[in-house]
Amino acid sequence: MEQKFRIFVKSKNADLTALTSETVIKDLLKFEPLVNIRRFIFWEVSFHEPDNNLAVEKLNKILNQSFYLANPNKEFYEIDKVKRKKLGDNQKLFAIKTYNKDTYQKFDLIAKIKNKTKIELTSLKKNLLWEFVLKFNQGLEEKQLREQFISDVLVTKSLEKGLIINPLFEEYEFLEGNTYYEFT
Amino acid sequence: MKIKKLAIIQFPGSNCEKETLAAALYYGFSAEIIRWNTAKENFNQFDAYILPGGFSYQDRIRAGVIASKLPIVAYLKEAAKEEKPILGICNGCQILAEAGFFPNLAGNYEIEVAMAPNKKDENTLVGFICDWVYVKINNPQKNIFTKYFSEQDILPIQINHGEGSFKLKENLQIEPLTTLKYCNEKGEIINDFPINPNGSMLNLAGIGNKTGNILAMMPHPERACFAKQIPTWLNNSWSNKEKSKLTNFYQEGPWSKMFLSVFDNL
Repeated sequence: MEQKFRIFVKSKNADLTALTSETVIKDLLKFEPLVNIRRFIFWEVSFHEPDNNLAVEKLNKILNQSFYLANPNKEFYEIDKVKRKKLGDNQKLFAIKTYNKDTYQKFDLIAKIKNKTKIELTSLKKNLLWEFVLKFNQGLEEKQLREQFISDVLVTKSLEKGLIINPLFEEYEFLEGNTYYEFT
Repeated sequence: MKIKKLAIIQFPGSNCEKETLAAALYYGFSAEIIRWNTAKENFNQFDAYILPGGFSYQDRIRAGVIASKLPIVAYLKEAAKEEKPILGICNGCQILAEAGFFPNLAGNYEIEVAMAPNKKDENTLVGFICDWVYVKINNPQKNIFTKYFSEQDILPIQINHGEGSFKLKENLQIEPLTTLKYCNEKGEIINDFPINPNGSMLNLAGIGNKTGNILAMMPHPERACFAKQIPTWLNNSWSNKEKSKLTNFYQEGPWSKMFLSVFDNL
């Protein structure tokens, strides 16, 4: 049976890239709705294992012993869903998966993981998960906010517009909150 | 004779500004390093600009993208429109790419080229590369920085980058422009690692813009403009033989012509 897992890895230390991104978006791109940003490395992992319990054991072995997907000494990880506090009534979460179009499939890492753990993955994809918490003005439709966000922040077009991805070699996808988050 | 003023823009994380300054001074410019937050009035007094190599803002998000949003790059855009010469070296090339300065065929300063992470083949990243390579220049007469070169020149030069693989917008016609391409020591442009060290489309190492006043290149010309900088182990006429004839510490190297070209034609 094909087992599929999502792993979200975050640094235990301050994420300087997220902090800098926040400053640039607010101060240089003048995008007012932004409240804060969080980022994770987002792995999509698949392998054959008929027993569900054994599958979880194998996954933890890869995570704790291979050091290729996470370094438990300085990173923490969550499997399948990210825990998050509920947002305020006037806040909106945009969770966006981004990845390099050409190199997101990590065939070389599959070989290295097999060498170290004897576990053979059938697929390994590396993405980033960006979380943008935005002030949601009730007078503004969500669709409008999303379009403004894509144009002003997400997709780089010029020195005045966009930052997070370069569309010439990167892709993005908005993630629906219920399947990726456990709100507490 | 009019003094020709050149500014080398130092961003937080730039690290090649001093050797770039040394080259510019030696070849006749009244050159100085200016900071990324310099006042517009100070910025505007210069006749030409170089964005040097380094790791501005630690390459956060993507190499060059944070720096590309700074006010000084907006000043630089005005200078570009006035056709002042602008050279982007390595991180400078990445900044100019993210700001849409080159090749700017559409004329609207929207991005047409990206500097992606180095690749060995279609889907294998190769990481940071520090090495000597060779390049050739196509249409050298079309850009102020390359007028003194010829298409027959096979030029040794250093590369030192992790995100230098040129990705072009679809259907972008760059062949009429000045371009630098990776080649082997015989001058053959072969799209194979390590001759193409980073998987760049069309073996590109640099591109100029339509009006010929902007050149963005990933290799480092400031590290090969004096003969003493060329390593003796390089199998090239610039290395062994020339070094044995060195009589002057600042004897010209393969990339002297870049600085001479822009100085004389300014």
